[in-house]
Amino acid sequence: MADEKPHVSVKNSGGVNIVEFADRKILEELSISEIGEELSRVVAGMDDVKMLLSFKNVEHLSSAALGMLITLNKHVAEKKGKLKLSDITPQIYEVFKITRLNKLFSVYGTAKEALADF
Amino acid sequence: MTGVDPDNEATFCECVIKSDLRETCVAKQAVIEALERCRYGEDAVFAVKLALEEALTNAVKHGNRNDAAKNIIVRYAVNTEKAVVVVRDEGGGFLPDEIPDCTSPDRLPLPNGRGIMLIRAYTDEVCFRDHGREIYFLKRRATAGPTAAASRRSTKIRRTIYYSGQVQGVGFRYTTRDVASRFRVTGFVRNIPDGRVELVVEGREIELDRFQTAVEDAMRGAIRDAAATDARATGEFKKFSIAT
Repeated sequence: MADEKPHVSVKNSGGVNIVEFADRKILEELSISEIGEELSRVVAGMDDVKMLLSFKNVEHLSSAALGMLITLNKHVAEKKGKLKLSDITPQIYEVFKITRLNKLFSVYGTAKEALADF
Repeated sequence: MTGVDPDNEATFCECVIKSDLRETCVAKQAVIEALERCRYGEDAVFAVKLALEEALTNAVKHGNRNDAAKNIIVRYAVNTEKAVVVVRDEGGGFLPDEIPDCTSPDRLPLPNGRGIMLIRAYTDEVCFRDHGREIYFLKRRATAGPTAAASRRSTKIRRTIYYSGQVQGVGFRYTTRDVASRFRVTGFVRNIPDGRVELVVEGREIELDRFQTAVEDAMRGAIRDAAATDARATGEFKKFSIAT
């Protein structure tokens, strides 16, 4: 799988790793576990973990993706880091609300707002 | 497509796939194409896609336990009024009533257990048959599902919250005003004669959710209960203030 196109792009801005998803749908278990591994590697490589996940390209996700985000959130918390989410479409925010995960995650309207709060 | 009737399962289209998550896209594609042929809206397609994804994942992982020798049968029928999908696995079945509530505080931090809840939330009818080996769900084209509400949420809303408990004479209003200064919200907070605090706030939903969480974190010991209702924003406030 190492030769395959990465599922996320990461750029650093003022100490915060901004992650964007390459896939428009975060649905299938297989790609989700790969995304989870890519993100875990990013977290493992940071001393002071500040991570912003931008959902601006994401049109669909599944409960398996929510599980991956929860596990990532736990890894970040173990390193006493910060994880924030931004640019979630209203359709996808509804999924967070139904599962009440909007209470577990720090969700911001835009990346700019999230970056201002790290 | 003639002869396919969501009310008569004998007429359903059928798609048999192996218990492999890579194979499920064939079934998903077939159902999505049927929806598109009947010109279902974006919200309805989102809902069926999500429900089907969850049902297929459950069938592969929990039903057939990734056993490649076992099949999954997807049957479906879509017309201009409703879409029905039935997903059957060859596993040992389960008791749907024994699935715990994934939104309870002790289960919220767990990474799994949300699939069935999402299927129920995004469809109009769900039933489990043959001891849970088969799930049937129905999505009406016309219903305003949770996602229809979501399309309104990109605009501003007005949230009115009544807090009860030891909420007056404890700095609640001043704390709320301070918290509000950190968020893009307008509105007011005031004490009302029955001993509760009334908080009326307008802004985008994501902002209101974060603001509400911040207020409730700051005043945690004081609040016994919070009753919130959402409505369309009026835009009448220029800032957030303490009212009398």
